[in-house]
Amino acid sequence: MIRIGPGKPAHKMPKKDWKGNSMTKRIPVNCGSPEHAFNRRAFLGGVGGALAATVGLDVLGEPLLANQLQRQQKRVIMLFLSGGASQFETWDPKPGRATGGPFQTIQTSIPGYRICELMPRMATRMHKTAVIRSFSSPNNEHAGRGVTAILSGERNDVGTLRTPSIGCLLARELSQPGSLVPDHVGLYTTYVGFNNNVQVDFASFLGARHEPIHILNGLAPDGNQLPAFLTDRDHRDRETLRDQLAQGFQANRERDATVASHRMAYQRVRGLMDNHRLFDISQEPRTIRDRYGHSLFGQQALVARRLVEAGVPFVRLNRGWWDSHGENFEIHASLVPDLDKVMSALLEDLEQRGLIENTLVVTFAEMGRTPQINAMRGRDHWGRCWSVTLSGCGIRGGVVHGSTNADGTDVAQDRVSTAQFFATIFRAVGIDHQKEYTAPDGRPIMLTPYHTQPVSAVLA
Amino acid sequence: MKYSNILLVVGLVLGSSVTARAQDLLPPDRPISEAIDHYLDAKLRKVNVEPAPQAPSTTLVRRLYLDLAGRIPTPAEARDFPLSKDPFAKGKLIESLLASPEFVRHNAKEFDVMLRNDNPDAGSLRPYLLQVFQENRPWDRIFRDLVGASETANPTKPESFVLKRLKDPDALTRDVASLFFGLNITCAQCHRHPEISSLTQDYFFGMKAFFSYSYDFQGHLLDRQYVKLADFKTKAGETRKASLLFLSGTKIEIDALPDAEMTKAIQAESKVIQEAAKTYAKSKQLPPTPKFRPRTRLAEIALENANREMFARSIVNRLWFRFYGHGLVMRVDQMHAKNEASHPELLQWLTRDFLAHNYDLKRLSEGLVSSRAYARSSEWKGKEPAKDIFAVAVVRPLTPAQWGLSHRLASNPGVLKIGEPAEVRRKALDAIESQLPKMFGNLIEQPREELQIGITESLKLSNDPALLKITGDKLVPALRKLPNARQQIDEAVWAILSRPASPTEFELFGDYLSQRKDRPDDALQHMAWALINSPEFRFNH
Repeated sequence: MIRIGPGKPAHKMPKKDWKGNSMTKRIPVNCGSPEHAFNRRAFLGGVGGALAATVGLDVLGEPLLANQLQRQQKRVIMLFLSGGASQFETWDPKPGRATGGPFQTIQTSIPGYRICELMPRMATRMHKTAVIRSFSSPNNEHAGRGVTAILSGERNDVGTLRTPSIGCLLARELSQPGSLVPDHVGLYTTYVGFNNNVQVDFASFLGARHEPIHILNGLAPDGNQLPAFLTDRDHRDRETLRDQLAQGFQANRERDATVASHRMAYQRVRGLMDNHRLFDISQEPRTIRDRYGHSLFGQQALVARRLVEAGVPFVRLNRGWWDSHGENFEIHASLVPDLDKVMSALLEDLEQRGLIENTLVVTFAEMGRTPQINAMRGRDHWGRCWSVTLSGCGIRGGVVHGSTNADGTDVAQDRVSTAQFFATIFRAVGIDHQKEYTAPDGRPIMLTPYHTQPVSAVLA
Repeated sequence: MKYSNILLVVGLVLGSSVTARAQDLLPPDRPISEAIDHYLDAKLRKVNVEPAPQAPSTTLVRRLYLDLAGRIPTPAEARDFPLSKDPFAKGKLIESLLASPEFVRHNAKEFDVMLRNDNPDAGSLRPYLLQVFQENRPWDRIFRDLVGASETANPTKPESFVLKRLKDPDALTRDVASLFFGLNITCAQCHRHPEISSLTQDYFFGMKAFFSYSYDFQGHLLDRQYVKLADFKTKAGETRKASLLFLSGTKIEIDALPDAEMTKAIQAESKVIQEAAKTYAKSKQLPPTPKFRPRTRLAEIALENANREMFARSIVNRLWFRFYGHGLVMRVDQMHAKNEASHPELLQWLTRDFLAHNYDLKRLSEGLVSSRAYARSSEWKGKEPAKDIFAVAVVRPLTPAQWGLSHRLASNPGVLKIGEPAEVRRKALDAIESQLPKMFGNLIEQPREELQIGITESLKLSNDPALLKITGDKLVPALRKLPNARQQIDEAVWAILSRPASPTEFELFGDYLSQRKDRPDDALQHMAWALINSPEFRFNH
């Protein structure tokens, strides 16, 4: 009699086959020097075991376990200011200049460094954050090739080759063996430009596993909920039936990693659904929820914190829509305080939970905004010089790196490219930014382009 | 314009490093399948590996339907074959599948994906491919059509293979060399090939030069007469002139005009083209065609006696890869002398056979799926054997097209009927396939090496209400009409997995259905879901 019902133990994955598929003969690649050879990453090996089986399961309910499991794992949260936030109204104000706009500046906790008055909370904790004011990229668009390039570290240099986005690379690099939580979650406050922005966040040859689960305009992914016409019991039993079939099929086909990934994909469904509480911020104390605020962005940031706490390695929080071609100052007067509130709350919360040492929080966007204020009191698209920030894991706080000239029309000191910024992110979370993959056409692809140097000044 | 060929003796090693003399190979009159098993068995004996036994006949039938018709068999088709006592049943099934319009459809889809070569600029060539597979056009002619080297115009526009790629000539060069000659020369764009030192940048820019004359005139692929081939810089910093140079070392010398005259000639020609463009809408007049057509020359050189083996080997290996899940040479775009085939004599034999039979793709496909090696089980106990001895069948994920069509057939097994007229079947398949993009979108990934199935697929298939509604939608009502659970289980497993249910499955599903006697529709629906979402359905095994 085969038992059907809930509470079936997770099956141990066969150890051999994930590592297996042993390539007795190295498959030649296009640029076939030995160091280019495709090496299966460690995460494909040794699936199974107690740790693997429990990652993501109920960790929020058991703080002790959460601590044990999650301490060492590094994660990244990217606050992506969709549409392009103005550096003038945030990290690089130019008060009193023609390009400066109406806002005043306030002193931060870094002596001599002032930011826009719209960010009083962040001002008090800037000694824990690093700012790069000399970020520069060729991109001036919301979508298309330029954005594809910027999200994969300025890969214009490799012809038609599609390179994975930073999020997918981090998701892959930081993913845990046997994790039942997703590797990559993308939360969006707005649909504007969404189609295009999603297209560029691709995993390419890394595999679909590392592409984001999208949460649009809400707090939980669509397929996460039990369909209305199914009971939980039915859903579980159905999967038990399926898994029984899978076991039988897999028994003598353990050598095949794709077959194993199929089974893992279904096991992760329950993992994600069983963790529906991950997305349920009503589980959080009132004080915490108030601290994040009740904007969608704030609520999504709280979801992001719950996700990284449960072991999700990469979360991109897309906060839109900053594209202030008209009424730049009104738009920033409304969006910047929200950013200030949410970002400071997130950092503080991560600190209080002991997660900040292993969680890197960065701010990024497609571009910044023009120094010139146009006839509609707006600022237009501007890639030449704008600001990004890094806080937490691996970062030396209180560093203000690089600068722009008096009117903010160009980099004055220490230009930082997208590739360098990404190299810095990889290094901050302990990944060799020159690590090499092999693309399907045999071309070696490093995490960042050749000869890229991280910005060591902001690294701890 | 004058031109001449010069055979360069640079020792470019693109062929096989092991070339057996023709008389040492198995005689050419043997069936393809016999040659395959002859050479594979010899290697297996040599490495002392006992291959997996032949797959059960139901598995083989499913494999053949997926590989040749692009879908699982209907329950009736699946049941038909194992009942047969005819010793020639397998051959007859292969023959009938290859003769069916469904093979034409499926082959067109497979080649369409292959010819795209993951190039985002490439469009679909499906109407053209349907046409040529219908008449079983030889591969050399297809090649001529695709590179725009045919004398006759084709309304399905095969030359759009080149036309669509003109905006990125580097990618076009890569695709032509990879797809037709089995060699990805991308690295020679910037430096010499690391494993074949004689493959210098000259070859990349030499191959590219064949397409440098091409331009898009109102949707027509034309050539200019005057082009100044761009110089390129070597890694050492030297500036070199590109010339038309085929991979074998055959170089086309062109009497180039002196620089100043060339510039004038180019300007004059551009003017003629611009003028023609202005009047084209009314006159439909194309600009004059130069005598020298580089793409036609490329096709001629590639199909010369000295070079055609390289051209043939590439497609033989690619078709082998398609049916066996692992190439005789891996990767399929790294066919050079430093990368030996696992079975060099077999590859040579198959290539000779393919050439002797006029580049007949259908004949080759038939041979490839008729061997004992193709029919092996994919199950293996113990330490796995090396992939390149072909001791056990490779488990292959279904393509989006195979999966989508199979999902609909499994959910609605009555939709195709044995013996229905071809036109009825074509319409039924058209109707199903036209729904697939809307139903499934990009749910299923195109298979590739090291494919990792993602959670998006399983999550949607588990929880998306629209997808759940069409999972077994017509199958469940049909099962309801059957008198008992045993028959329901048996029918569901036939419809979805194309085989009889095992004793374990009768027990598993029997218990399940009896526990839910009060909700038989739900129970049957869940059983269908479990079967359709099982890996046995997701893979060609």
